[in-house]
Amino acid sequence: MFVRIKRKLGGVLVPKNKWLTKLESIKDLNAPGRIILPMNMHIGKPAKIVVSTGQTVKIGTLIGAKDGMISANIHSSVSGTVEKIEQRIIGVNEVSVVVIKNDFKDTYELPQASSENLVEIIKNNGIVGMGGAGFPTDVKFLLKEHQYMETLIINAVECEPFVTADRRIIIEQMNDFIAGISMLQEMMSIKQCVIAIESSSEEAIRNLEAKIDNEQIKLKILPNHYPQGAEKIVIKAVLGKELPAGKLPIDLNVGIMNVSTVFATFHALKENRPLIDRVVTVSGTPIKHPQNLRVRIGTPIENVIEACGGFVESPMKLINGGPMMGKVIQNLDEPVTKTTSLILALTREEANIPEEQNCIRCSECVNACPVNLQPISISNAYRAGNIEETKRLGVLNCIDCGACSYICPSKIDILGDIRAAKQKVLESR
Amino acid sequence: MINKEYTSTGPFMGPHIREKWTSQWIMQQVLIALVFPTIAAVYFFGLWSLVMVIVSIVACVGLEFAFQKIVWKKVTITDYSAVITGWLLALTLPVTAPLWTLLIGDFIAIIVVKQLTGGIGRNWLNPAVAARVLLKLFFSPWITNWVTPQPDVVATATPLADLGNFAREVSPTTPDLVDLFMGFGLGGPIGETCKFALLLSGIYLIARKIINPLVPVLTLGSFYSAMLLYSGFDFSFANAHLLSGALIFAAVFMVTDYTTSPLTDKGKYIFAIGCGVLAAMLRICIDLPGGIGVAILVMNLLTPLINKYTVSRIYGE
Repeated sequence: MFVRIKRKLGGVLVPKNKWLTKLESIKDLNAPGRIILPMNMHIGKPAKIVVSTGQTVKIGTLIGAKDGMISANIHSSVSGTVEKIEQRIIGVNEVSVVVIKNDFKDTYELPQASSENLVEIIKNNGIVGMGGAGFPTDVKFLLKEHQYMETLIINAVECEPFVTADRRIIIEQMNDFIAGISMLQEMMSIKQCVIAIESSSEEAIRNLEAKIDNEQIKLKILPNHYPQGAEKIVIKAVLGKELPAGKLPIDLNVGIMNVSTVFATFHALKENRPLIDRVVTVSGTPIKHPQNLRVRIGTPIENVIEACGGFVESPMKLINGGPMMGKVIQNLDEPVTKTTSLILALTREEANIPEEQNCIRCSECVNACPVNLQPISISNAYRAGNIEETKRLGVLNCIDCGACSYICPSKIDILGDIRAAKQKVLESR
Repeated sequence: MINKEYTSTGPFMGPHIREKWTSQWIMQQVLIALVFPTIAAVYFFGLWSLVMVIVSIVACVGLEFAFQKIVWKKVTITDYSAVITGWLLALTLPVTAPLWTLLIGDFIAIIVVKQLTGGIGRNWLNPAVAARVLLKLFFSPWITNWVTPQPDVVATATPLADLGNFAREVSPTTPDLVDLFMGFGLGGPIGETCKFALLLSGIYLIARKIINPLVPVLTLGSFYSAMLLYSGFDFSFANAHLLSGALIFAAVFMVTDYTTSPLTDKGKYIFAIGCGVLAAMLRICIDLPGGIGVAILVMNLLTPLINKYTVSRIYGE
């Protein structure tokens, strides 16, 4: 009960398994024969398709246009022709996808003429938060009149097991990383930048410590546990402030960006380069050669797995994202999207979830919850059909980290109940 | 082409992995901890103690199995909780207690207190404690026939008999501290006289991270402080009380019970202090050996209230 979790922080100690890809330097994956671009690679409204079947496109051609405030542009990552525009079921949603056949000529087209307005450039280039949420980055920098960005937190925590993409980027492209941060700092006249990083990223930390000579960039080393990298938890760890319920970081004068997003923003500002590729960790024991790959957005997962030598054994689950918060990949022709940081294969033993047993009220979930909920109470209330009670217990404050389900010795799917309760509460509004 | 098949299986949303430990593993650790006082029981009171333990375990598991079969519920005897209840209850009785009193206790614990209130995790009284207190109330002559350990089995009183009744100092007949600690020449329930064995159990459970060390420490600490205050800082009086009766047994195995104690750490600490102080008051005022049992039951009933007032502030609210 004591060492299993770090009490004050909440959260759980998860085996991180970073060693699989920690030392694998990033390799470029050849562009695939076809890319698949779903229009919902970001949170908010899906992008509006602006090409038609048969049209010739280049790298950087706008395929989907930002539709409304919380939405983002989508560009082609290969040159070729639009083969199909269709509806597909990816995950649990039906979504419009554009399939582009690669002509392997790699001809470029820069998006819309560069603007003077930096936020406009970020917007044109379709930059979104690449850590998983996919929040449009330009919206983060679009400040209302009284707002200003005092602190920019670079979230390099990477608390999900297996994923090493961000730490490899930091190690291999240190100069660009620092330059990118400095550029943002200047652009938004930010007082201080804090790079938050998990203590297990030893090499990245060593390199950063040697490199940072700038007074305004600080390094904050955070403990090696889960979910230390969740936005709300990072903000508390770095600033000691809690993000009030329903508020955005900017309401605390804070901006928070993931490492890959900093890079994408840097390239957009410097070269007017749209977000067309990203670094993905491909890992898990069933993968023959786990590694870090720079992949064009829209590359089918099958191509990515093939590039890693395929499977040693048939995995029980393939996951887009980490083992804690990732979503199951149901089909190998699902594409890598802007928010895919990890493709993980789990064996039957690893992914096996034993049968649920009765709760013994050990209260481990209560100790593990990083936002101080009583997960089992919410689960019980939901199972008893008492939605009002789940609301009173703060179900909407849940950050979906899954520490409760992970730690439960009775293997109760507590987060499953909480998600369902949350859904009911939102519907009843 | 990829050489191996992939078809997605299992839930779509995470977490896709689980901590390896199970409820059974937790219960097994408690069973291991119970071995220490049981060895002491056999050493001091003979092999009959072991018979009592085994009979009680078999009865509890059998009762739980039979009840769940009869009411068409899922049989949960594999979670070991009935084993623990049976074992605990046997250890709280003297070696002279007739087996039928033990069986009545098992029935009260498993059927009345545990199953009729919904089974594991739902009972709001600790089954073993409730059974022990009820036995004490209704079957007193049979289960308080204390004997000193072998070889010369003679009727005796527990050390507490000399300490209760508004006494403020140690009587000359109270055994010295070493005897009290090791259980030499002490009458009492078979599992509770050797405090050394209980200490080992406590250390084991703490080392295995099954119990929060502060819970037994606060129970004993608050009890000790209350005794010190009452006796005007007579340390020998407080020491004798601390090492007498079921206090340490309860602090290790019963105050730390998951189901019947509060959810949050803060709540657990309040619960522990409440148990300690109440037990001291019961011993001083109404000369009730086994007062810790009543104290635990009272605090069990207060647990929902403690839960209500110790809810942690939700992040950002």
